[in-house]
Amino acid sequence: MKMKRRLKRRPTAGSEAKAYENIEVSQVVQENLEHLKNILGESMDVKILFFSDRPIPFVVCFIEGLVNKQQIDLSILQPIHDWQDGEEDVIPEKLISQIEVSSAVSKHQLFGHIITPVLKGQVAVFVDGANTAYTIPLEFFPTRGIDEPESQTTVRGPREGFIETLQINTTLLRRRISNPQLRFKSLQVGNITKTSVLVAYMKNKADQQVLNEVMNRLHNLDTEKVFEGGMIEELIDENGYTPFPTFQSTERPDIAAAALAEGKIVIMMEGTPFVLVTPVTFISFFQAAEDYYSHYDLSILVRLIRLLSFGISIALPGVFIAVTSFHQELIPPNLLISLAAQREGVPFPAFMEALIMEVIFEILREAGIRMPRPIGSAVSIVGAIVIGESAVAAGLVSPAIVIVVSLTAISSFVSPYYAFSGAARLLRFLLMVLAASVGMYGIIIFMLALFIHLCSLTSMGRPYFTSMAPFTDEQDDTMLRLPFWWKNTKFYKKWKSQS
Amino acid sequence: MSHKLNQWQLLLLTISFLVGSSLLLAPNLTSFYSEQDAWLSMIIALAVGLILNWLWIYLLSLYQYQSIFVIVEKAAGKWIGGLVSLLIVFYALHLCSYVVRNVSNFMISAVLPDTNAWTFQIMLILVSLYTCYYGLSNIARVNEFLNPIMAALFLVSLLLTLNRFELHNLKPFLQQPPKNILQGAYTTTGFPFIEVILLGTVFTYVSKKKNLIKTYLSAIGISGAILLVTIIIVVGCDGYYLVSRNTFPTFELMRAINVVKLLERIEVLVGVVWIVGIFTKIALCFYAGLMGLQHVSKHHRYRTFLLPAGLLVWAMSNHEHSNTMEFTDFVAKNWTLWWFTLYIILIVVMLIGIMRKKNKPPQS
Amino acid sequence: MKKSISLLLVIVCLLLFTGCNGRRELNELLIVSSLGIDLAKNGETEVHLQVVNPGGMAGNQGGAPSGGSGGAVYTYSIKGATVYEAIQKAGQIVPRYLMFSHINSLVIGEDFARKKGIRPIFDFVERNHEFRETVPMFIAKDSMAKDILTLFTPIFKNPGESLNNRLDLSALSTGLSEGVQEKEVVRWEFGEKRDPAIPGVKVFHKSPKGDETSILDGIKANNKTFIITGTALFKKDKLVGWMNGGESKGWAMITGKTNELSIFTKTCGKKKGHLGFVAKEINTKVKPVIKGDHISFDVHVTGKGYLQEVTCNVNVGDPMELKKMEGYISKVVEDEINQAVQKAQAKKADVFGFGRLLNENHPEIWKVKEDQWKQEFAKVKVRPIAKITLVTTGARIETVNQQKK
Repeated sequence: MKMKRRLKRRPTAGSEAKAYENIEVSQVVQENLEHLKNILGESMDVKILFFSDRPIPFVVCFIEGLVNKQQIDLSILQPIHDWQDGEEDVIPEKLISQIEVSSAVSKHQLFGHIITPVLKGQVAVFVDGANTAYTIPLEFFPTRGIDEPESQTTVRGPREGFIETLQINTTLLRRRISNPQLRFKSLQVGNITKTSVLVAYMKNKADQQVLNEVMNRLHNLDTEKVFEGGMIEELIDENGYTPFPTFQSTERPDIAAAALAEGKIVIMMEGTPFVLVTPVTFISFFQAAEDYYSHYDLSILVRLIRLLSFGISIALPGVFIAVTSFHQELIPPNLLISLAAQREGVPFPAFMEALIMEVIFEILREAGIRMPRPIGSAVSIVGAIVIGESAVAAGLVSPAIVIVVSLTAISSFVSPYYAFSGAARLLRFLLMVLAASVGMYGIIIFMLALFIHLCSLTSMGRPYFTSMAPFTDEQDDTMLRLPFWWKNTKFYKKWKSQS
Repeated sequence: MSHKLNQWQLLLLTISFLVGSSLLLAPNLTSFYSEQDAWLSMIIALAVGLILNWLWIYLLSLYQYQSIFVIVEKAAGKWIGGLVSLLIVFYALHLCSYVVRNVSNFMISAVLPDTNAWTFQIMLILVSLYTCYYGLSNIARVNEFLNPIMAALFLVSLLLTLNRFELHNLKPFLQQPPKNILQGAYTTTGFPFIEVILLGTVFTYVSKKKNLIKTYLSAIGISGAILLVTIIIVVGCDGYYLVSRNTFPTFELMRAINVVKLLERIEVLVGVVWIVGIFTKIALCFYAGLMGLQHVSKHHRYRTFLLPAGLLVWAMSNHEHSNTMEFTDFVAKNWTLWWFTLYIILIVVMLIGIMRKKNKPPQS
Repeated sequence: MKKSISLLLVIVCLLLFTGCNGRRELNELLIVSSLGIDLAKNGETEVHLQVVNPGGMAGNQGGAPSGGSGGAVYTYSIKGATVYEAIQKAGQIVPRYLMFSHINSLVIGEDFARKKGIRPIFDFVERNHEFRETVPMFIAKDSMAKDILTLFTPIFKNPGESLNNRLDLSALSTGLSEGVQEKEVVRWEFGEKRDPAIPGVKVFHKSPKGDETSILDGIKANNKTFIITGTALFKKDKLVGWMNGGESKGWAMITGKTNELSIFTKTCGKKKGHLGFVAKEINTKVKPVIKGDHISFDVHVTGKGYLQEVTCNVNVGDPMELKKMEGYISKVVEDEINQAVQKAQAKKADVFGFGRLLNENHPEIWKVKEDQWKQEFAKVKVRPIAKITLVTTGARIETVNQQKK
């Protein structure tokens, strides 16, 4: 129900702004010139060149900075001039065939179809005497070099990361999957920004139903602006509320390529190095690219460690509170005594202590990320002193809680997907409140509610918590990463043929 | 809201339903009467349970495993069928309130005596309603995920107690008068083996119904075996005298675990296992009640009834019995007959339906 | 929608607030490490609560910001008609909530055990949800529980822990490695109609300053330590006598409470000197033997011996000699068992659970004998059959005490 509301198309705002879309290209080039000037205005980066003293006058229009000017001279202007000067019977229809460019030239009758390509870096050519205009893709703009992805690093594995340019990103994918079945579908999102979005999939692998669902949702998307995959993610998510990400966002081409090869769908976008992978499962957020590049036994261990640390990052402060303030009998006697000794003179209850330290930690983390890099280290020094030393020395908190909070914090950095640790950060506070009010019982209830929630989630109509619930017999790449030869083993084949 | 499950999920649901609440109570209920021969009571109860449930599911299979509410309506007509449906709803919610009360009794007598019982009740009811909100698929999935984990936890904690197991606590064998043994079996027949007929509302959603009888009966067999092993270990470790006086003997047994001074006081593990199992049971009771209400009121979904049912169960759980002993006494003396009444009513209705040839699927 | 959300919020808030009732911070707790029970002069019950002072216990640990002084434990004593009443009254003299879940030992004064019996203790201990039922019980031999609980001990700052740990250490000489748990006593006495036996403890050398921390300063340790000595015999719930060291070992072996103990012979057959052994993996099987109306019990003890000390002139390297040694130790084991049985029979206290055994194996005979079992028990014949095999002689073969010709 919520879905429908969000995806419903609002009445188009500002109908006069869109009036140009239906203007037809005129036979008289001066008229077209007028239209262009009206639509694009006097913006300094819009270049409209009008060659009026030619046998066939024509207009060239482009945005400076988005196109390769040299190429315009060489491939468009030069050949046309030569042709017009050299030929006797110049007719408007032949003009465009003189242009020497590698990519396709497209014809348009409506301004609506011309303006957006121009704004995206194509060159428009209007010829006197013809009621069609031509757009020539000569985009050329400065791009960042391909760098190592910052948010998802590996020790072993490719060092390339996606960049902000869509074209280069598709290249990166193509280079990894040289298969004719790899397809890109293009569309535009955002009433104002008109951002290019590509949906990549393997035609023979991807589930048609899921693909249709994705396309449908993207088409029905009504928003003014998108700059990052996260904005799309939130808009096309089908679940009412959830702290868990239901799209996997990655800046590694190898992950995206692997997802494509598994039949998933990748949504790419101009202007961000992050692409979205869907449908995903809960467990896929524990799978890093490196798991597949290193030996399987190590990968299994590492994945289990990731699960454990996710558990720690959600539950440790809550469990600590519950155990120290409700279930002291669970603590071994000597540990209990030393914990009690630490707490002598601490004025706050364990819950407040943990809350204070958690909040301080969140502040420090945020400061560390937002600060310009040179100052960032100063933050961590101050943080270390404040948390580690002074708070304890001042009798504000007990040393045990510092250990708990720092272990929790470190555990929350383990997840290979940044967005996923956010869920743990949020839920941790809720769990702390429950643990502080009903102890272990609260924790159990919380966990039950959490699993109910996880089981109710879907990602593009697919159960999110699958491979565990509902349990599937394809467990070779879930919590474990079985060796790649697993599916060739006799045992597996026999087992498969039986069931 | 979707209601779908496969046979594996059904198996686990049935096990959770049966084992969940009996895990802590069965050793006491049986050994209270049959002392060291408690295991024999359990075997008898299991055998009786298997027979009763076989009849039950066989009759259901003659109706192509339709929902029990549909069956009674077909078999007994709109009015009587509606009344019987409401009776089932009442039984389901009544059982639910008992289970809820059981949890709060446990919490206030063994874990957190200073906390208000309402807290435990309301939290558990809310979380069960939360899963019912999403439908049977959700209950089945949550249980499918948690049940094996809980089973592993329970198994580990049982293994840790084995070093204190002494066979002589179970001796002398078979010295109790048959009356006592049957008395012990009587209680555990109703709780949990007859209660489980509430799952009659669930079978219709199983995707592939082939071998359903086998799955269901083996689930009962497995649960019975789990309970039996639990009883043997609990009595074998602590002796019947401690067990028969103890409200939650399994929990008490885990209290004494002490392995190299490291694993001490891990009874909370068994507490967790128990509460998770009981959660499934409560959710299923709610589900059965809600489906009945949905059927009787001809709604196409039951979300309207969620909150009222929850409130009703909460109120019932507090007002049925004033203290824990009255509660236990009722369960020990009347529970089996109370549920057997419903069993007989339903069996009779179904038999009448078969005689009236109402069990054939409508020709289409 | 809004209404239901606000309703939900109210419920959640209510839940959270009512929930907080059970919460107790660590610095609101007083950890009781051992409980002592004595008979007061006026016939009331006197309860001693030895509580831990975390600051004093943790000492100069980095964490403790303040406090960190005073003794490691303190003992509060208070009188009441019952154990529970006394503990409730203690609420008036202790500054924090008493927590029993970490209790290390339950010490009962001999007077109390003799005159009042131990039965009045159990109900409270069992009913309380915090109390550990596995707590080991001790009887303060020839003294009050108070004497045991008002002594500062070195090495272990917590005397309760020190006492508890001793069971493990003294396992070799008393045969009791886990002590006797409260739960067992209840099961024996009320479930199996068997008389309990509980290890005794006393202060080794009494010292007037035992209850001051200053006693910890001196180097002499004998005046600040306990000794586990003997085992108290009970008839029903009343103490009727004591078994000495050897008898205790015998008791431990018959009841299967031990799996490792030391055996010490007075002679080497006919030669002068001693033999010291540790016997491990001791396994006991008791079988009732019925011959007509006559009941006797066979006690089979098997185990593995490890030679520790030889002070007589024997050739340890000779396998025949070792066979003889096995005979000597088995003899000692049998003697100890016999002594224990004689002591118990003299007091008519079936501390071995022979009655229970009879019931297990021959329930029909038990039904006849049950009523006059106490008299029957005093006449029962017990035949110990020990078979301790020598496994190794330790790090040396021949002893320096061997005089070669």
